Amino acid sequence: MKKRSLTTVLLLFALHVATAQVLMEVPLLLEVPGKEQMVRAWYDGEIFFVDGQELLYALGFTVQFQGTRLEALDAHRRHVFACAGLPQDNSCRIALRDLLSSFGDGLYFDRDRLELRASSVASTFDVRSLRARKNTWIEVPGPHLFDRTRALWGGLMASWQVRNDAFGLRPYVRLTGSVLQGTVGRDIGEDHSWVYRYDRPGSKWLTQVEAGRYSTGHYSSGTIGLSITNVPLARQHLQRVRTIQGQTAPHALIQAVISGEVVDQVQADAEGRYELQAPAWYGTTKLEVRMQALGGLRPTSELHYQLTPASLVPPKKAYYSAYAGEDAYVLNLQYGLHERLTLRGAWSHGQGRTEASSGFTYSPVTFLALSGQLDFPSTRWLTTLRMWRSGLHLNAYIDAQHGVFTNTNIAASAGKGPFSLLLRGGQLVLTGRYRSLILHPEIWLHHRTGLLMQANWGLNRLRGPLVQAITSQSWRFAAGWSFARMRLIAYAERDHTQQVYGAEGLLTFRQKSLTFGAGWDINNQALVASLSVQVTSPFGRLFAHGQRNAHGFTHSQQAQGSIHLWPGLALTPSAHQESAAELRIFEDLNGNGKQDANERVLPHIDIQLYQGGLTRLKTGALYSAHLEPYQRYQVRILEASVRDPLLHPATGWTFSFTADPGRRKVIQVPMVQLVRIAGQVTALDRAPLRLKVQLNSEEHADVYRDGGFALQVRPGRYTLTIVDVLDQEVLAEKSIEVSTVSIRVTIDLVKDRI
Amino acid sequence: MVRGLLALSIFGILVCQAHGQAALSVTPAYAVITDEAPFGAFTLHNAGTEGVEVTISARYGAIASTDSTTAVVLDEAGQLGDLARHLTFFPDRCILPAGGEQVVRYRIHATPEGGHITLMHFAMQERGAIVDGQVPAVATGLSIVYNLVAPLVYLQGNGIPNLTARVLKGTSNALHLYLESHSPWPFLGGIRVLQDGEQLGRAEAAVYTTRLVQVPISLDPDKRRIQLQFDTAYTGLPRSIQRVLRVPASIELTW
Repeated sequence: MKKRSLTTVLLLFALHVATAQVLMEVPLLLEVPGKEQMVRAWYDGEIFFVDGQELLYALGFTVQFQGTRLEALDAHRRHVFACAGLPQDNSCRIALRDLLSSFGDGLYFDRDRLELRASSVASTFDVRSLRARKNTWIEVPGPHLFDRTRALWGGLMASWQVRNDAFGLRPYVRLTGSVLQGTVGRDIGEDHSWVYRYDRPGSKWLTQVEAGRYSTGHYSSGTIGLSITNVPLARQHLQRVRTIQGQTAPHALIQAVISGEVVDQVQADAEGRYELQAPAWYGTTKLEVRMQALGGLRPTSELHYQLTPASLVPPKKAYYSAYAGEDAYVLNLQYGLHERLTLRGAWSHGQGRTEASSGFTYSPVTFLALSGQLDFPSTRWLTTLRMWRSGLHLNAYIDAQHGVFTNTNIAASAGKGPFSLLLRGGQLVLTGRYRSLILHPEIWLHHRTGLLMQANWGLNRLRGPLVQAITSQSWRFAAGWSFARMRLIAYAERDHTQQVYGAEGLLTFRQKSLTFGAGWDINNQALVASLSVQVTSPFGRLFAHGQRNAHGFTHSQQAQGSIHLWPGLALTPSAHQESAAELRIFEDLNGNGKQDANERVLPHIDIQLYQGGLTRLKTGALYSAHLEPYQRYQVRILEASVRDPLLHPATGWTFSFTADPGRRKVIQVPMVQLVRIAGQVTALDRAPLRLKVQLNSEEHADVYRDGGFALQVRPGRYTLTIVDVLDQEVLAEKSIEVSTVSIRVTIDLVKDRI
Repeated sequence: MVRGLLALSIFGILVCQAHGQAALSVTPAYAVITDEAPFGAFTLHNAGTEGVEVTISARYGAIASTDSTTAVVLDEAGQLGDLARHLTFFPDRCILPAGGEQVVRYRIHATPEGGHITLMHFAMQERGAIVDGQVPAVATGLSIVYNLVAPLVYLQGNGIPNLTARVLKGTSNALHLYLESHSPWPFLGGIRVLQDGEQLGRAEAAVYTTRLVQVPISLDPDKRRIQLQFDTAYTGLPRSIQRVLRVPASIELTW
């Protein structure tokens, strides 16, 4: 017994001594924000060494040699680290503990997993430069399966509207067709206008061509014309990278999510502080920040909207739009001088007059935009200031002509808790040097209990050379209660014609809403009443409004809707041409990828559509309206809603599509029965976790600790290849035939070796 | 000598083995479904910091009690039918990275009338890091397997559970009951203890075969006649299922 113990102790000692003298090369996984890579490292049984040149470069430093001395410089060319290299192979092995003591909390070494993780909140080394190297943020990631649809004859939609009011009964019909690889719209009304539009969303110099007979709009009325532009049809340029800092639970996982895709992920530090980086495109970017505390608690999330003024153009990009018609020529130019400064110019000639203008948009900070424009030959100057912050919004316009201010207009709103403050006002210069001053402040209280209060006051003063100042005032006080489906308010109001005391309300019920009001006009001793009804059905929408006051009774009615005539017949309540998508998720029984007559839509399958709402049609399909044309939308099929465990979407669980302009896009999502392959790798000569199984050199599956693997495939012939992920060596290969029943496969690394 | 070396190498490998933190959760913790909607899903979530391999299987069995303990019993579930034979689920194994989630969908095929049960078994092993030079036998062999079990109950038709009960012991603040099921219909719900029409306490339990139930009581009962009444309010059980479940007849106990 004593002898055995002694042997064991001696062996332990011998093993320790032996391993301390052997320098074993080990692969070290380096995880830095945005990427992973293997770096060479060595272990002598006690100390880990890493290849300094490789690691320091991977951490974002500039690495240079002064003789055999290695130096690492940061972005400001400051020395960060230096060590003596080995003259024979011009490399530098650094003891990892020295490196860790240099970088402090910025680096974490997990010696059990052989991982070196760079903290994304580290300040010691330049994490941002690492991110900049891999700036691959795209608008909607994931497989893009359903692109813009073009057709010679791709469908027809008729939008209709009938309105009856004091001017009589007026019908209106607009036909929109997807034809000749583009779209055509024809108004059947008073002037019979039509426009053909052809778009090229991916083009740099010509994104849209339009030709037709224009009714109303920018250019002229009832004339034939042609317009071209290269303004992008959907957002596609990155404007800035926004840094979001915050505090949450210590060590919580934080994700920045845009369109359902994680664009950044960090772990909060011990105090719960975190710093995320997220892209902001030209336009509006909706960003969700998800926070998941450790310990399996439910994640929480908050939304951020990143706005970029629509009039800003990406730097070094030039956009134009030009129109030539029977009676007018117009050219607009925009050029992005800087990411925050855009220059603009315009020229037009029509009806014997030539006009031009030049201007700029400047956004010095992300929440403020200033625009200026000078018109020729009128020398009119227009200035616009826009500011938006959380709870605060301001728009201001100032006109000047011949160096004198003419019109000033301000609209501002601010909100804090239940209070909202609005201010509208301005000064107008009318003909004959008459000046009008308008001031209209308003305050709202909307308490979460349902209490509503409103107070506003209005002032209107007119001055001129022939009249003394005329001042009129108005006011309104209201108080009421807001319930889930009803709002009731008692009010008192006065303007220059009437003084009314009464009550009004709003009632909503599913697709119907009703507004009503009744009061007594003290000045005119008359009853004041109003009633409005809005009913929305799947095939149309109806508005009716009636109002009675001291001047009599007025009323109007309007009905509207759309009829999709081809492909298939469908009715929608929207009266304008809109981009929409209909997702038909069906079981593809014959596996041809198309919906056949006997393949019905699976009405229980739910999806998540990022940045879009959904309704379920009677056919079981999912319908999303009001999409932005040319925009890409990401769809995620919710796996838990698929009742048959063996059904899988042929598109994958997530995919994206592009919304077609002005039409309903039908997206067919085939669900297919997959066959299970239960596999086993035998005759293992290395750890199974190093292995992957490739299916026809495309998809791959991991190998489990016991050498097993699992695949789900459609019937057919496949080649399974076993690959070592560490050294990329192809080890074995086997061909299999899969029918409609599950099979078991064994791949022997010796017998099936290539 | 050889044995010593072997022991030593195993000791060394054990010391070097990585044990990150893997934490698997399964929701819901149990599921009761009926022939009106014979399908559903479990969601696996790895809230830990290490990837895991999960192997999923379904075994006939139940959670049952003796006079002193409650445990998972395999291959036996009283008069409840074997649901594993009528069950299809997907996937049967998966890899969950840290923070990862996996939906396990299931569907029940035609079954005879009555209650049926299976225990969904989720066996979790840490995935670990890829270590160059690791011996295959060691890589496959040395790992701790963590097990989670979620009962899946399926009701084809509906029937009234038949329960019998006896009092094991009573203290000043709890009553220990032993309940037995004698029908193919399981009981999930609340058990109320009454004496002279006054409720002494209530506890919730799922009785598949036999079950020990400890009912907290507010009053020390006299050692004489008590009544057990049942309801179908059970934590986590959807209202649609509660409406389908039938309540067993009340039980008079002489203590």
